[in-house]
Amino acid sequence: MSSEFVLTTDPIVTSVLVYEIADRRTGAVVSFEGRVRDHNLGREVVALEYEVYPELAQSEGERIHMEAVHQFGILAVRTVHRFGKLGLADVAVSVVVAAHHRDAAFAACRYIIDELKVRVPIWKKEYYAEHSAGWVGCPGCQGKHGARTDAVS
Amino acid sequence: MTSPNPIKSRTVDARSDNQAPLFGLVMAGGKSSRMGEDKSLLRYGSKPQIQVCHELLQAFASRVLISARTEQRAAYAPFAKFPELEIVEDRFGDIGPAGGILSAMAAHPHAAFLVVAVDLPLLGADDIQLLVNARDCKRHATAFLSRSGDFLEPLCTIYEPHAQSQIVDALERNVRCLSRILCGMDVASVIQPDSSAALTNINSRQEFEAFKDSTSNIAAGVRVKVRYFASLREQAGHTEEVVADAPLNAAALYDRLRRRYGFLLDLNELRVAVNGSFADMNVQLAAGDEVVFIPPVAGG
Repeated sequence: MSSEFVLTTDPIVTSVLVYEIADRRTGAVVSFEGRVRDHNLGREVVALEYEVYPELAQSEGERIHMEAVHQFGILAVRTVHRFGKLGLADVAVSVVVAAHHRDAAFAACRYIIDELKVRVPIWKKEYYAEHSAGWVGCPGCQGKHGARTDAVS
Repeated sequence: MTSPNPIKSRTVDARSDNQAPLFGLVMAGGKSSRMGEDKSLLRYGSKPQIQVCHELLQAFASRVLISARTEQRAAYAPFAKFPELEIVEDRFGDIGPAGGILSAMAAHPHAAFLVVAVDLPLLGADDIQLLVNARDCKRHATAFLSRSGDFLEPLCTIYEPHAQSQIVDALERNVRCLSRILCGMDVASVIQPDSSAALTNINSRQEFEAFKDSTSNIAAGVRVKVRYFASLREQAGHTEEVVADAPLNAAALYDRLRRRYGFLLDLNELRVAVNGSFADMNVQLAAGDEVVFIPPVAGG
């Protein structure tokens, strides 16, 4: 079983991850991409900035991978999360899972992205077209436009 | 020039380029008669109070002196770790803290003194920071004013060099009470922080025991590193800092930092990590811990 959780400022190319993860035992590969979209809760988003607490994000990400391996019996998993400033349509996160069969691959991929969103110390600041900005999920921290709680993907 | 009524003294936030160097002065020379033993050697945490005060003042003062009686010298000898413990003897003997301060001023006439009593176990660096921020070296002194507006604290106070003549004058008039002497000075005052018990002093064995019981989990004293991320980083204005006298649990530490920086997030919206692992908010902190308060996350 191979597991790799990576935090990077480099652009993410999911097709490379998919290509690299499969071996002869693999019957299913499922990948999920979270991307920067141009709107959130009715507001025009022009850019995003992710900030990470590297040590804990790394260890918590690896922990989630291990949970997925034990629950779903997958063969391999790679998650790459980007941080720093991202533009529209950039890939923010990519989760790629290889398994013998599709059920495990789908379930594990879903589990990993869902857990990552609520547990891994990564924060997202949205920059809006009207020249304001705010930390997502952080009520009261967003200046005059008030609280917003949502996820990008 | 003098303002006998402390209410008239205004709160200021002024600094001058030509201010006198600030020395720390730990007032350890009290007779501790009600305590029955030297208050400067009591341990509220792991260290004797004399050492706690000394370390506290070192962060703010270019030099820290201990005001003590001659006979206390022997008692401080065991602090081998403390080669820099610099004692200035109270030349006046029995007249109280005014004599100790005057002795220090006479030895260092160009210094201003940040004077702190050794029996204020809850006094923290952020309290002193408030005082230092408000320092006005054109006045005789900078002092905390009680919230009721009727008491100026004389033993957690900055005295400027020209306050010396005020003290001498008072003693010549046989006024020995430092509190009364301070009221006769031109004072820049700082209102005591809201919920602060920082200026609570401990005088008897009974108070000491009661105090230790009531604060066993918040007693001052551990040095921890705090790192900030996302909204907390922006509100704090920096990415990390060392807190020299952190409370012993994470929740109390957040409360204190929140008061300082005006953090918008409530404690129950945060998680905490200690040394790189998630931890309970009530976790006891130890010296050297790295603490991170984690705002709501939004990865993906």
